[in-house]
Amino acid sequence: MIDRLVDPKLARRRALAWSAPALAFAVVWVYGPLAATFGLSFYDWNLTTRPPSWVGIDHYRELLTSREVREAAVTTVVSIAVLAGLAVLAPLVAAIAVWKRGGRLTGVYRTAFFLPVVIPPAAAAVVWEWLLHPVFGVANWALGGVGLGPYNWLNRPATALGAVLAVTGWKAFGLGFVLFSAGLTMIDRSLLDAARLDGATEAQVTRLLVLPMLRPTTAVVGFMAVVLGSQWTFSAVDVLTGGGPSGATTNAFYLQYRYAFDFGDSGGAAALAVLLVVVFGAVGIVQLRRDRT
Amino acid sequence: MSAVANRTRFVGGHVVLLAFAGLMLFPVAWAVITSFKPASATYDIAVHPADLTADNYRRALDVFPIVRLVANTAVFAAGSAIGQTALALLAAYGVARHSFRGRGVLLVVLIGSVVVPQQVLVLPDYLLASHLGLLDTYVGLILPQLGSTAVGVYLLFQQLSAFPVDLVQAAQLDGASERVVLFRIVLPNIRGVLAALATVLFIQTWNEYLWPLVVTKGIERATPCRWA
Repeated sequence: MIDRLVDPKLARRRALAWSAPALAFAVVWVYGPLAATFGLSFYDWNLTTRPPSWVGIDHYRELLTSREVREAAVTTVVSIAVLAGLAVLAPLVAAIAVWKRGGRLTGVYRTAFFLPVVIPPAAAAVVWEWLLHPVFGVANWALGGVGLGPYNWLNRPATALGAVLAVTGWKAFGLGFVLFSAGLTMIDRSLLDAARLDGATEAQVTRLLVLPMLRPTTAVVGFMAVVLGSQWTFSAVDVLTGGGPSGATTNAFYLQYRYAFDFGDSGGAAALAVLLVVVFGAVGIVQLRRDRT
Repeated sequence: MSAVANRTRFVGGHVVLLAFAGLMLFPVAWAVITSFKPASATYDIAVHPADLTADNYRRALDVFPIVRLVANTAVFAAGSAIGQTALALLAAYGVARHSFRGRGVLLVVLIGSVVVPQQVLVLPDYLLASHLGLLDTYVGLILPQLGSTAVGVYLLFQQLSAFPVDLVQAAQLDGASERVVLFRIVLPNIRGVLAALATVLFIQTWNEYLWPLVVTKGIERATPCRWA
């Protein structure tokens, strides 16, 4: 909907005027504090009365060679890959299926898929803690019925990470589902009927009509999953595993939080925050460029 | 495709969707059932219906001023969601509408705030809110949320970029200004997306944990998720 009749200089001024309120809030509450964080990353400070002391790029050097950071980076990448499936692909398929043939059950599906989103993350994690309890949990009780287990889900690295991602994905699925469903409301169903009359198969209708028209939404949901996915795991990690066993569920964001609030290392936390912003900023820009419409 | 095969696919689709819906609902149902169990039976798989009790609810109502807490959260979530949606719509419209050098940079600045982890901002935002005398106020709860419009800007920018240009041009030929085009032409057509965005933002704020915990001291402004 670009207006090409406006003089470019005027166009820039108008775009800035429309954006000014959002920019002002972002500068005051996000970019300003981020700049302060950047400055702090060159100091050693443990939040006590002792004044911060200048250490240059020491924090960055330590972080980049730390085994902890390397392991957290791997966990972060694995989490994002799994959540791309649970929070993008699965809700895309489900939203199209419900939109096409939900019929009278559409409301039921929407409610069922959306309900987990409304549950506060901390409360959701507690519920899953009951379900996964090693002795009394329903998960082991059900598996015991078919002669498997019991498993100590949250105390083994692979299953602990799986549990954290399952809880996070359970909530993120509904978020994607809502956004995809909203995107689908903008599609004119009569176009699909016309294609079907012309002999297009259901798969062709989906691939050649629905998916392209849903692209703006897919771009956003994919962007959110990649950039925010491992941040979404935060409360599940904090409640279910505290980052363990032996760091298996500690992703980069949880590690940053621990530097700040558990290790009392404000300078190191600031440096790790800056690294996270740089890495995810770069990833985000690549995605924005690819999805430019 | 024959009618029988069609029918089979129809039923098969619903069986898969219903099974999945059941799977999604199970933890919710389990939480509801557990909320009626006596404390001693929290982990029991099967509970005799006669043992079910509303004691947990009575206790929760006794201990916490639930109505006040829910009202606080509603103000916080509604204020943030409405403010974020409005700011995002204005910015997304301005950028989607115009082409100029530096457009990409402006877009990156508007959307880039999304990569700043929330826990990084808690301490500096707290100091700022404290300096402005906003601790323990609704304004102090809501204002910092308005800095996070990135996802909204991106979602609406994507939708508006794909908006049918003929509709806009027709209105322009009739002499409609940018503001009139936004409110008369664009808004009515993207209501569904705006509603979805506002809903998602409302719920996100409703579930917010860290910021209310830090910025409210008294129970007057506190939100229930603090105890969840």
